[in-house]
Amino acid sequence: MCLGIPHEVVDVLSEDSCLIRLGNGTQHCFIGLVEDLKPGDWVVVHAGFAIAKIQRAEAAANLELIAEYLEPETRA
Amino acid sequence: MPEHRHTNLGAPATTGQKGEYRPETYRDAGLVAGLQQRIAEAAAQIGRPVKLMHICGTHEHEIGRFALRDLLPESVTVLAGPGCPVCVCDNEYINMAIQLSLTPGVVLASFGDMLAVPGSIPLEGERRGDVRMSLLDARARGGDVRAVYSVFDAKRLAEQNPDKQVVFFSVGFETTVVAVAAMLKRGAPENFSIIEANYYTPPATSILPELDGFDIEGFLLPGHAATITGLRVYEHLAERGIACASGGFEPVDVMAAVLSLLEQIRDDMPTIANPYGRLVRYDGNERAKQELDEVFELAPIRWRGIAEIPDSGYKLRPAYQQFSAARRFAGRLDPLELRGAEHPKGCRCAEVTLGQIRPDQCGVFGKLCTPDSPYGPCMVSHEGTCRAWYVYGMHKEKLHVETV
Amino acid sequence: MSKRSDTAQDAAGAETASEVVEPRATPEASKAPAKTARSRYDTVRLAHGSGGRLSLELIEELFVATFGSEPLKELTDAAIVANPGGRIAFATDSHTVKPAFFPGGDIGRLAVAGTVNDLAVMGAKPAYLTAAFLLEEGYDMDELEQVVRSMKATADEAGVAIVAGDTKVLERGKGDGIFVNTAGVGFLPEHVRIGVEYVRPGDKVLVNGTLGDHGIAVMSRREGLDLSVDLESDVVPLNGLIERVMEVAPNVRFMRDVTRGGLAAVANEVVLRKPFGLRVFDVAVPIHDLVAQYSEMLGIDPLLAANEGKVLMIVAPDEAEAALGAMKAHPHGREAAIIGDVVKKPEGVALVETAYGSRRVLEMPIEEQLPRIC
Repeated sequence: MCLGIPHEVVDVLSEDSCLIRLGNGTQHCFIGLVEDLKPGDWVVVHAGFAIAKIQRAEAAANLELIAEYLEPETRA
Repeated sequence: MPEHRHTNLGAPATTGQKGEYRPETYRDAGLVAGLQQRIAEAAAQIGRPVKLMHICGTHEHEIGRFALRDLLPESVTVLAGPGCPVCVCDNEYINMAIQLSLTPGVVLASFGDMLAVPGSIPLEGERRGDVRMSLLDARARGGDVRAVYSVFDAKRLAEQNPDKQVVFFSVGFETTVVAVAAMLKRGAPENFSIIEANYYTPPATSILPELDGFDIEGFLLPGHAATITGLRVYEHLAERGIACASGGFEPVDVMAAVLSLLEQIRDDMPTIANPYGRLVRYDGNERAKQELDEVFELAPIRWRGIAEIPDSGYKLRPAYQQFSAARRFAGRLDPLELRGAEHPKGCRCAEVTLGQIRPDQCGVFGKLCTPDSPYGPCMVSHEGTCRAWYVYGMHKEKLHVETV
Repeated sequence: MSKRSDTAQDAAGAETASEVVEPRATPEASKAPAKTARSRYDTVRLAHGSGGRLSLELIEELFVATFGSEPLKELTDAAIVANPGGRIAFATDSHTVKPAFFPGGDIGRLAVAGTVNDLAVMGAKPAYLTAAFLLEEGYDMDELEQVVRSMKATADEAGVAIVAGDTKVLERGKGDGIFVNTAGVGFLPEHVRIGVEYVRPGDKVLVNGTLGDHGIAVMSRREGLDLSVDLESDVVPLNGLIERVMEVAPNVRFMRDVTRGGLAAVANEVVLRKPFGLRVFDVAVPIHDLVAQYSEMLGIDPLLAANEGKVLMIVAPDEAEAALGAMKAHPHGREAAIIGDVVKKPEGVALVETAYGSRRVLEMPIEEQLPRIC
């Protein structure tokens, strides 16, 4: 239901299409459902189309929250 | 940890530069260990067994792949709920797909997962048990059945075969159906049509609490479906006192969601938390919702073996009806003699789908029903709970390793 | 493609005298390098397999001329080769891979490397191979020539000779282009004692490189995945590498080439009904980033995906580092790794230990899967 893989946007070709990085090259991806994409953004791709853009600020905030859980004594 | 183990996960997780995003962070062993610790603490503070549920086949798959249940305390159980669109797809659509594939001039395009799912057209003498036809059986009988990755592939098939009718068996939940809406909105060839078998999950979460014996205290919400629908559609669960948290699919994301649920339960403050906020917005993807709404409307649909649930099936709106295979081929499909029972005799897929029993509690699991020769949908589909359990050996005893 | 007038053929398959022979045009650039026109024919005819004049021409002009071994040149019914004495390893394999040409290899290379490796993992020194072809009428002659040249190149790489063969042609529609069978013999040095019966808890498990490349490469091409990037497959003869390893790690317990069913299949074969288990460390398994990404998309576990040119070796614990070193020093082992160990319990089980310390069973793979729904 939910398989989605994060990919970096390499080039935005049109409102509906972009190139995402795949290995050493690129692959086409449909982006009609995601707004304001620019190269360097990350999107989650499901069956050939991007379902959402990764909000970096949110990611960072969330990781900080998680990091707060990791007091030095709980680190392996 | 073994001495020669290396981590290919890069440096220990930090947020790095502000805004730097690295996907491998969400597999970091240090983060997972920390979350594991906090989960154990929260569970101890709760002090009694707690049951959580997810509603996404991919969650079960990831839990199996990383053996995440191993990392949870005994008192915390995560159950697999209805998360498999292949498993809930009603026989009506499978049978229609089979009939269409056997119709001259028709090409039936389908996701690979659906090909081996039995419908309710009986098939005598082929294999043991109550055998019904699947699309693979139809292909073996001359049906033109093609496996595709996406609706875009099916559209290409239609463009490449203008002399044929290409029917796309449109199965999947909200994450998958958005592509179909996007495609139809942007124009599809005349010889293209779809079998409308897409299901919308949130209403199923209204049914679950009504079931006998329901004792789930927290829901891990499907992270990618939620990027489309948003989280607001699950508010009714929190209102009932059930904790909710958006769940991503990497180990860190799953553990973070579980922790959020346990903390809500511990503090008796059920809410809709959003640990997967880097992707999920509370109101979802407005553009996607708009496009969906333009092309599809919600109607009652039968969830196989479960019930007809209102507003949970995607049907084409009048402006797009010409792409409905049901309409296009109405009257051209012969009536069928069907098996009455929705699942083959002995198959308990409906109960597994609802999280009422574990796969290994089904009598045919691992015997008559294996991934090599699947008896029911839960074993066929990559999103199916039974398949995940079998492939990752989750039905077996917890593994204890002794070296020498 | 050159124009070739269809010739009338009599019942025995011989050409009639009225045939017109035209010069061959250059082939499409996609697959073959500049061709050397051995055969007068663009495509394979039924007559090429029927034992008559055309058969002989094909054998002499293509097979004997390319493979060039002494026994083949004799054109006898069987090859006579020297036998140094001792035990003989003997293996056969048929190859049906489609497409016949894929990134990093082709059916010919696969056929030779496959049988060479089957022999080498027994601890034998591969020596002689046979090559049998089942061709569909109409199969492209340039492609056949390329397959044969590839077989010769691979045989040279492995230091083996192709000494006998056979060709049959199936009617159009009755064969899928080309099938190749190779059989081979190798000689086992007296002291070599390799087999699953020598495996014991504490032994280390090694592979000579990244896993899943071949299966993912073939699958993604077959599924027509938009490939702006190429996944190289890894078809190579491994007898050279295995010899190097055995020089420094003579107490190798067991070897098997990792082919269909991937690591999971081999691991399960090793532990089946045995009083030990096999543990693989998730993070220790070398997997190319690209293979990892594609496998997520295709829904195929790289541990279950097919490989070519990969060998799993179970070695004595005190020889593991030396074995690893020897592998890494060899061109076909640069990304070798110690990926796991043999454990006392759980018995009869192959398992994966994740980066988090959790463990899951590595089940015997089920048959080749179709792409996921999502």
